[in-house]
Amino acid sequence: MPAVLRHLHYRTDADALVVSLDSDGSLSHQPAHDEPDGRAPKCRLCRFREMIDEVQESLRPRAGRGPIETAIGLAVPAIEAWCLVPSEHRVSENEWNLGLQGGKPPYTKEQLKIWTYGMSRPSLEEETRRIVEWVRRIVDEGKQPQLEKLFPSGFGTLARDVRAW
Amino acid sequence: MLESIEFHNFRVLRDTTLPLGPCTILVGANGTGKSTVLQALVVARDIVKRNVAEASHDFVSLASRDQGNTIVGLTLHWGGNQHGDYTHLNWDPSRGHTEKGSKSLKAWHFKSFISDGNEVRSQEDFSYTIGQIKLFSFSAPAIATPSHVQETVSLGPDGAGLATVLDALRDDSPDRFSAIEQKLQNWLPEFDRILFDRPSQGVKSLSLQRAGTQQKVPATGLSDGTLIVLALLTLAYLPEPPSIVCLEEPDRGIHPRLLRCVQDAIYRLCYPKECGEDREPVQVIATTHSPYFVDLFKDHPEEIVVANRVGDNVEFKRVSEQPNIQEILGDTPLGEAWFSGVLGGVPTES
Ligand SMILES: [Zn+2]
Repeated sequence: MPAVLRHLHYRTDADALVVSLDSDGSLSHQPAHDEPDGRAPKCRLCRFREMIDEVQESLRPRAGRGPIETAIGLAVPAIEAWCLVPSEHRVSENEWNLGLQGGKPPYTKEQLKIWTYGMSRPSLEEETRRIVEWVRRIVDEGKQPQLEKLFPSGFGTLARDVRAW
Repeated sequence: MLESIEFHNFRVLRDTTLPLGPCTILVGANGTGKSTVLQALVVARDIVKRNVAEASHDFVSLASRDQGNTIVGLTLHWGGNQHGDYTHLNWDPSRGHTEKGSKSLKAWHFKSFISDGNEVRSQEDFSYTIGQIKLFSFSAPAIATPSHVQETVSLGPDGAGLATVLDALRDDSPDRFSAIEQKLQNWLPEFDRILFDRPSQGVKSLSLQRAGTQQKVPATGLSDGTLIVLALLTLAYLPEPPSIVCLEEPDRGIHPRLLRCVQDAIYRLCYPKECGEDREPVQVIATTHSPYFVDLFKDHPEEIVVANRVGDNVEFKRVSEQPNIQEILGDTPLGEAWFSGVLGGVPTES
């Protein structure tokens, strides 16, 4: 990823970079991590931000352009959870974190895949087609506020990053 | 489905068991018996079919070198009930030890047993499944060579005959042929059609049409990766694929970005219902040396089996069964973890 950011900076006229990470089984991003000096080394999103800052600091300024804007999200446990917001499945950061605290995640990544794609091992084409459908549904049904409400840390932070550009 | 294979004095596999699932990807250093596993299954097929003429191997040479008169054997453990519990193939060195060809083949015995140890009276089910085993080690030149039109159309072990197989699919299963063309467009967007020529009587050759043009690129002018992707796609879309498919390094010659296509083709064979196919699953056993390919299995570490040299033997272990595996992997991609050596399966000094 550092090479991607440097490439965008030096070789393209890109204005921004948006990245969403899957947490898998790792720590969820917390509001406290957004406080000054609050970054958590065990949080993938915080570590990613740290890396972005380091790269940005090392870059020579681009003629006539500021640094590339960035927005980073962390989906728990995977991006399929975000897609399922318009569905009847109970997916949220709260559900996930409560489950983890109780020692039993409320769903697995495989379960999310089955809910999202109708199968656990979709081909890349099927995965892309279905995920675009879900995103379109979120937009068409005006579910963006709900997405931010159900995933306030992982998606909310990405949304706030974008609004701050 | 084969749940495991036990090996006894089978070349480098002296006394070891390979666990298997619907899809098994074997990784390990050179000389840890990965190819031997695939060859063993072909040997089993040829023994069961008494297929001396087509057998490409010398049965006597399969024994571990210094084993003298020790019995060489393979035990195939079947899951479910329809196949009983296991099929045992062994080679009796007192018969045909020094002879090759049909006599040494006769020294091999095979019997299938149900769980209480009784021999199964009808061997037909086992023989049928074992007899269908196919090993593919695709070679671009073989795929590109024009193929003779024969009564039996089948994809050769090196991919030879692809032109006739695709041509037959176009005639007999146009939907499948269109699906292959569609996949080809998705994965190799510079091409949009599969075309056929008849360079001489009874011979078929294939070419791909450059997207948006009338320009034909003959198979001999296509890249190795393109030809191997086409062969894998064709295999995945066959209406009646073999029951067990062994793939020797299916990622060979393929750009890392296209490896997902290889995985998708394998999953199509293994999980047909998920792809809307109404047929029995194919069990796939593949070898690889590509960390990028291994990375694609991060959500299914049970599908990766690592071969490790231990003394003069080899041990096989699923990644998912390694101790503390999730803690060890953390954020590290599976392929990188394998490359680093923490999963085993890397060359060592001893
Ligand atoms: Zn964080």
